[in-house]
Amino acid sequence: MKRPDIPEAIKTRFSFIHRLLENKYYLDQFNETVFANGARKLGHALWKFGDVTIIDGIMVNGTAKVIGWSAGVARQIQTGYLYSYAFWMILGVFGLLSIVFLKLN
Amino acid sequence: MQTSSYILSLTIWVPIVIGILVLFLHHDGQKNAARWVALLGSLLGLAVAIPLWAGFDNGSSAMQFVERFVWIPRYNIHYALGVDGIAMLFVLLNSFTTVLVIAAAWQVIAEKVSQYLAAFLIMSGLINGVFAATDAILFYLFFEAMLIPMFLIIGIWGGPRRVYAAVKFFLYTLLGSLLMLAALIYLYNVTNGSFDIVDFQRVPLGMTAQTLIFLAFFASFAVKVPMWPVHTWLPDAHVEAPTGGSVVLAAITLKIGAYGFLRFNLPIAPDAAQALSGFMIALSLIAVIYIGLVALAQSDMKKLVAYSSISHMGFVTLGFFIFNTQGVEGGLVQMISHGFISAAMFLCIGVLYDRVHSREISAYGGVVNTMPKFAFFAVFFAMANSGLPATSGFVGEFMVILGAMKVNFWYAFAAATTLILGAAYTLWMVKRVIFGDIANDNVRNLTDINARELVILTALALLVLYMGVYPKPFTDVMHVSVDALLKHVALGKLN
Repeated sequence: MKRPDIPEAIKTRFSFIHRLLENKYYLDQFNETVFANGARKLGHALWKFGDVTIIDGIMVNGTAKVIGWSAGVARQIQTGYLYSYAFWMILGVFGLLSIVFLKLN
Repeated sequence: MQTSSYILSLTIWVPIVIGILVLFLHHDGQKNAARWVALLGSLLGLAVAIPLWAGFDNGSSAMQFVERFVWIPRYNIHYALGVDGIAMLFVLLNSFTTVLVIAAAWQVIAEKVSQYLAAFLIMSGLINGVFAATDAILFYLFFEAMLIPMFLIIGIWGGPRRVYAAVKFFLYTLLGSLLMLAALIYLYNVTNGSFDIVDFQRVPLGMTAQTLIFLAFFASFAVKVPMWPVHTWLPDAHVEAPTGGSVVLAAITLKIGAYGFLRFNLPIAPDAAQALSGFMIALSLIAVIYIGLVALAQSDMKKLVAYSSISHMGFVTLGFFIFNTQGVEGGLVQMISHGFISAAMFLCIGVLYDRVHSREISAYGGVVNTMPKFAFFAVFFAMANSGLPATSGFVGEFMVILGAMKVNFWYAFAAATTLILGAAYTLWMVKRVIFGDIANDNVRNLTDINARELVILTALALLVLYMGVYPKPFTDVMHVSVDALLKHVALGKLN
């Protein structure tokens, strides 16, 4: 090159255009940050929120938890103590008799 | 008893009987004997299935190789078998895959060898039964029985969370199929006491009945496919399952769900299928896009391929519910192609896992430096998984997109995003695992694939290429059956 100062001068004078061209109009960076990163972030959010939290957490394991919880409540009734069963039976008989008598009057 | 051949019975019972024989070779000194008997058994299973392809009449949509015996006369249940152009290919695919998984387990499975191999052989026979059964109760029996070996495979030879995964897999599929059983019993009453699937397809049904029947079968098959949002058992099952279990899950059992749609939902409830097609297409497209994005976020290779499978199966169900020849045939081609490709992907992951004992992408990097032969196959199958032309992955996707385009531009547009997403998650994984500098000592000490692994991967690669370059033999087989099915669906059942 005979006059290396010419491209140098152009570079400084049109530094903005030079930078733009040098970086290929920033298209690579744009793709990397917006499309690639965006898709990865979106995918991660869908996975963590959609699959892990909603579907697995609430629907699948939630169903199991509700069943486990209601069984836990229901099993309180079955104490295995005769006096407790007798008590509930007396209470039941009392309730039934009350209904019958109230109906009769 | 109209019986023209015993080929289908052989494809079912040869693997099962040999599987039971293998169970007897359970002593420590008999491991190699068990392996050889199982391998010969699986090869024999494939050999007895070959006549299905060779003797198949492409010009007929009727069931072929029919066998029919009275089984339980009181309820009019038959041992009835037969395949049309839709089912036949899957009997072959399954018999072929069984050979691969038996060979792939050779040195890898060292504990309870005979039980492991027997489970696969027995499952192979049961799955052939699912595809060959033309009696609904027989179908249901095989459909449910198949769960047991898979449950054991995941639960015994699986990873650390294998019990959770196995139970989740079992409950999901079982719950779905109970509704199917209810539908079968209803249909039995409507047809005045027949469990013949052809009778189910002929019997006229009102719209309400059709809708309920459709949804009952949907519950069963959508879980199997799996369709969004009942898919979450699959990544768990894949991650915990041993390599062979993952291969059969991805290559075969997912196909049973899609096959069920074609065998039951479409022909038995054609009007409901059309009325609900928008719903089915929406779920399929969600699977394609949503699951494709989720696959991108995975750091576990098996989970990534599991999500990729769900996304690809979304393509299959999309193809089925746009009701044109290209869509349905494209879906079927995609099913077979995905059988080869997903099997190969899981085998490739298995090759790495056997050596490094990690499925994390971050545990690898620069594998190409130490395993050049393996890298060749891994990249090839990754390309096929992203749907590169001249591989089988392209053919099915292309046909489905063409079919979707005829129905609605936006369906095709949404479906085509898979070409971008599929390439993104597959190739990004390949880049991180295969290419770059050697990441750590584990990778530095890797040994390339041995002859056994080379043969397995080469067989799959040749099939992927063959089907990608010349899919005509496959579409020829299914063409007449698909046409007959679509005509039946278009006619409807209401009048």
